[in-house]
Amino acid sequence: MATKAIAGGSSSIDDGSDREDACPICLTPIFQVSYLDTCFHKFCFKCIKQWIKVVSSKVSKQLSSVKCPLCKTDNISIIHNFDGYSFDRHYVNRNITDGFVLTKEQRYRLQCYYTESGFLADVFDVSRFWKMKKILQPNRWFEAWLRRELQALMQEEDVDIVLHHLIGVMDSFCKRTEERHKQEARSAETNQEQFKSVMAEAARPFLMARTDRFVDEVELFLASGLNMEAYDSMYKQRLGWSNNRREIGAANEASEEEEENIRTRVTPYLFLFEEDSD
Amino acid sequence: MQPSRARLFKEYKEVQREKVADPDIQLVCDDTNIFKWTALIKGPSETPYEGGVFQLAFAVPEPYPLQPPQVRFLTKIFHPNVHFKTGEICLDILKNAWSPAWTLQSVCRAIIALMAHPEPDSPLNCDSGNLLRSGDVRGFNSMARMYTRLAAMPKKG
Repeated sequence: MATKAIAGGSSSIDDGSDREDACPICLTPIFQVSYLDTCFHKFCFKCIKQWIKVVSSKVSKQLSSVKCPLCKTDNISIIHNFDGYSFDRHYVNRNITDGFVLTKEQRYRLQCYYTESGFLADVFDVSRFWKMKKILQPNRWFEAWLRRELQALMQEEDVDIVLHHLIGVMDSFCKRTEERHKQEARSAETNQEQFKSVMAEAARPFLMARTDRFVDEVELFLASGLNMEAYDSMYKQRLGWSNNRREIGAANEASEEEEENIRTRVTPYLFLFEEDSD
Repeated sequence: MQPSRARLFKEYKEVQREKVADPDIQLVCDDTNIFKWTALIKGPSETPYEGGVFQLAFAVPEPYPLQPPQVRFLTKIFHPNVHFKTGEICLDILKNAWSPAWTLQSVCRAIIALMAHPEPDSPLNCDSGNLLRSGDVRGFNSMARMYTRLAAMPKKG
């Protein structure tokens, strides 16, 4: 077979200033701009992901990198969802098989963790929750909710160990509280403090800098008495922005500005790592 | 609209705009089917194909641009990497080295480059390849020029 060393058709795309922002794959203006991590050529997220899928379907073993369609540089991931603070990486070798990709909800929840604690304090009556000792009542939505949160925070699919650990810690806390309840009456505040410190201690090795925010969130979810969907929609209502806005794109530019204002309150992504960087 | 259709339409518009920019390539889309294209390319100068106009047929597959278009010469050509009977072209970018950043236009350019720089070590046309491999450049050139005259030049008179 003849081999021609001609740079992959770049000349037909790069010239002409009005086409500068066109995706080299679909030739239309780039939608959900994403970059290859080494050469930084940009594409629509969907287009480059599709191309990686095609390339990997042609080889028998798992691909670890993909050649840039424009310059043939090897790249191991796509950088996307860059919003000024944070970005996501879509790894070539996670793409097809057992890779774990956050769902839309998990991604959204991760963003919720950037907000300050006590954000919804006026919506749910947390102190009443403790006064009424509602912690002792089973919450059938809790486990599924907890699993999702852990998956989002740890960016891992298999969180069983941590999940059962935390639930175990919580159960034994409840048992102790119940027993104590029979003997002596403790203030709701003490219970609340106790609960949070026990949970934080249990979660810290896994969640590190995110722990305290996480424990607040656990408390809030339990206090809300809502199921996962209702709790999420509460958040969405209050935050006014959601992960969907990127998909919706230009369709709702009017509400975009409003959302932008709210978004600026969100704390940068990197602060989550502050404590565990040594 | 299918992505391939949208992209071909984009290329069509681009071709209309670039017509003047590249006088060596004339890409035409079938009137009724955007997946069928033909191209007229000029034989590159200082090659035995100079002065000839060669017709190419493009069949674009549904998954384009994730899959390369199928291209073949409709005009007979004596070239090591082109099948003499079918016009099939042996070119890596049309097979495993395809990249979705190529366009029909840039594929035409690649084919012109292939005409100027044959690869006799991976021949589809063995006679042509053997002439070059045995070092008979003169023999190759005269055969190629003869077929260019016979098949790729407008008949005079």
